[in-house]
Amino acid sequence: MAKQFTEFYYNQFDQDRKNLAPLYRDNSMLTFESASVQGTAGIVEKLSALPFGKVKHQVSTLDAQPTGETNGILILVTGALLVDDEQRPMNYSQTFQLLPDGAGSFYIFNDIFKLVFG
Amino acid sequence: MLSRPPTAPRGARNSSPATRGGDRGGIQKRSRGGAPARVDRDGDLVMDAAAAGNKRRSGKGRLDSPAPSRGSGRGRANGPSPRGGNLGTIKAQRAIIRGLGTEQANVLESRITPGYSTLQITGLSSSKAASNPDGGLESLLSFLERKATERQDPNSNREVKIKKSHMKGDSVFVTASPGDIAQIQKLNGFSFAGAVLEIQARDPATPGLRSDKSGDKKKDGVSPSAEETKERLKAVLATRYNGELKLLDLSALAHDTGLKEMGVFDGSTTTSKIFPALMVVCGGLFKTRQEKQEAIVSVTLADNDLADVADVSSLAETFPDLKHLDLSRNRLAQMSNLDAWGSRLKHLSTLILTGNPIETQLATLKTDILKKYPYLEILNGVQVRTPEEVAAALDFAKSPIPIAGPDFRDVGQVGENFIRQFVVLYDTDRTALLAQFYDSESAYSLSVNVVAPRSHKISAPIAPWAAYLKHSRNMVKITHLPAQMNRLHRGIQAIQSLWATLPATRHPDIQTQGEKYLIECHALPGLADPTGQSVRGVDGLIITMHGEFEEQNNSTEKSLRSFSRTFVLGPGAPGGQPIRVVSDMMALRCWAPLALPKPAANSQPAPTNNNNGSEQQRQEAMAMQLVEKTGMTPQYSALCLTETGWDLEKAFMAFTANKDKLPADAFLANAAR
Repeated sequence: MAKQFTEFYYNQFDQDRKNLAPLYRDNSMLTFESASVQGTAGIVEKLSALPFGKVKHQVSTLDAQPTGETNGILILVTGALLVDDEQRPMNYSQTFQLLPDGAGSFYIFNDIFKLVFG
Repeated sequence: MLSRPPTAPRGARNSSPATRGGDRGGIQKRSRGGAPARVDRDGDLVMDAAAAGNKRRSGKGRLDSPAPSRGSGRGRANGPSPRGGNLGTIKAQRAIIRGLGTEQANVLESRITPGYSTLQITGLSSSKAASNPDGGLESLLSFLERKATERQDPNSNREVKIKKSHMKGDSVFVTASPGDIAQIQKLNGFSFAGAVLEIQARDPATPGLRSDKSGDKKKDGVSPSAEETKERLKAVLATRYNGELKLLDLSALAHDTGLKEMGVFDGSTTTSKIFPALMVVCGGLFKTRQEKQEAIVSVTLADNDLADVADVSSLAETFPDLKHLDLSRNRLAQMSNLDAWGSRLKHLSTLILTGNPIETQLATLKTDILKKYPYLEILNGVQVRTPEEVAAALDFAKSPIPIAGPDFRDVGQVGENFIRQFVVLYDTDRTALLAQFYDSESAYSLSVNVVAPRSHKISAPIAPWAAYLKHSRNMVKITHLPAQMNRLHRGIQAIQSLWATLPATRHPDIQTQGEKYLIECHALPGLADPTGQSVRGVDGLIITMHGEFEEQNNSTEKSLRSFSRTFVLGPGAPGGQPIRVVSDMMALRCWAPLALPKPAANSQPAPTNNNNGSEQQRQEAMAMQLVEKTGMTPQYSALCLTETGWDLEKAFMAFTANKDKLPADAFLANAAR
């Protein structure tokens, strides 16, 4: 599940990040480089406004744990981000907390992105 | 801005008062008029030395020799620049220069694999053996081996052996040791089964160089062999290389006497045919990329009638690290004419497009060009970026996403207290840590990112990952469910037994070295209530922490690792600890300093002044070198160097680009113009 989710997420993100809207809910929280936004609309707006056009995520590690009785999933991803024509990749770390959406699927409850390159 | 010396209005090149001989522009040094091009260049060196007269010092490349005149310009303030090292000639490169300086290009030769090992044999198809089942190949090969062996020195007992062979069309290609090849080649013109064999050397390394131009391959001795071609190209390259400037002059190739003699242009003036071959030969001279990078810093392709760099696209492959490039006086009209190089040649610091149709649009194209060449400092002799700006631009490019400080939204300092205790206890007493914050439901897993990119500036070795890898739960790699489950550790015991095997660590003191951490904390509603009372769950915290630790392995070497760790904290069960770790996930990667929020500008270290003496000497020496090379007055040379940041190579490129515009008084009176 975690693997499917991250593949889907990064594919959408790299193609057109506006398409990520269905993955969030109004109680979702995105923390991108320490700026927190809550709610689908705000999150999509924030993602769309990020200062790059072309972007490519390369997932290097992916780990996931079920989170207790909420039937959620906690995902920790580390990888490299290639932005626009920049050749050098940047290390990033991203934590997702997924919760069941009640319809057999999951939505992103928490999404915490941080660049951690040196 | 680079304020150029007062310029005369730009006109036809020949309109300057003293017309220079020859019409080769670009980087070629000023030459005596009328003499053939090749002699020109060779003569040039002599002439320059003569023109400089008694100013000429022995030991050209030395930086420490006193010079009669000092540059009036102020040097860059940051002390001896590493660029100065370009002038101090490196040993290996000296060898190249020496070799290239001679017509024989001895050193070059020694760098090329000696001899060639492939022969092309034609004639089999018209022989009687052609009707054999194998087209006569087998009998031809034994014929060649036998005849070649017979014709050897009678004292030699060696048998000539053909190692490999294949037929292609009318030709048979055979491979053998260089000695045997030489023997076999002597059979050229022999009769085999009623047909005359023609045997020619073929070099697989230069497929672009067919000596046969228009089906005349059957005529003996008319077309040079591949080896001869290579030797000739090497000779051409040798005359076109300036070791001191690390410059390869590929200007006006269509007018090159040596190339013309070879007949490579075949009536046309296109460089597209000969260029790839030149690049192959040139590339073959260097064993490593670094060797090449050190030997050739600048290339001029001036006066080649290029409408698109597609004709010379192999330049980018052969010289990916090129710093200075002169494309003066070609027919490049738009940005797309440079597309054939793609995003290679990224390291260009100087680009000269003078005398191309594109020149008129440079004002509007500047942004695009700067984007394409992130290190570009000088465009058409005009400074478009300072070295500091290049550095800043690269920093920016490195981080298009602004790095922000941590967003730490704690609840009642629970998160902060947890982290403070965690980093200390994880280093000193993992058992106590587990007892205090973990319970039977706590989950822990780790993953190792062995491919994390890091800056080339970091040279510290990466300690082996063995201790971690066997536990890594990286689902990108670990795809079997049982393995995934095995590597998820639940409960104090399971986690403890794993942690006991992991290397001891020391985290930086979070009080005094807080800058080595980036920790974020957010409230997290909806956790399962350990008391089971609240249906909608209880509030917890999600903490993400990025930092580093020092690994205390058995050896005395300390190794640093970077990590990202995510915790989910929740309230403890009644009667137990007040808070518990629900989840603990750790991702490790090779150490690199943490990305920190952008510091305020002007963090540039203050210029040091303790090197004034040597810096001044260095500049004086450099100015004199430029005087020698250009015939400019010391004043103009110093000016030119000042404007190019005291980089001799750049200064010379700037001179080349602008020399037509320089007033007469920019040159020494006795210098032949």
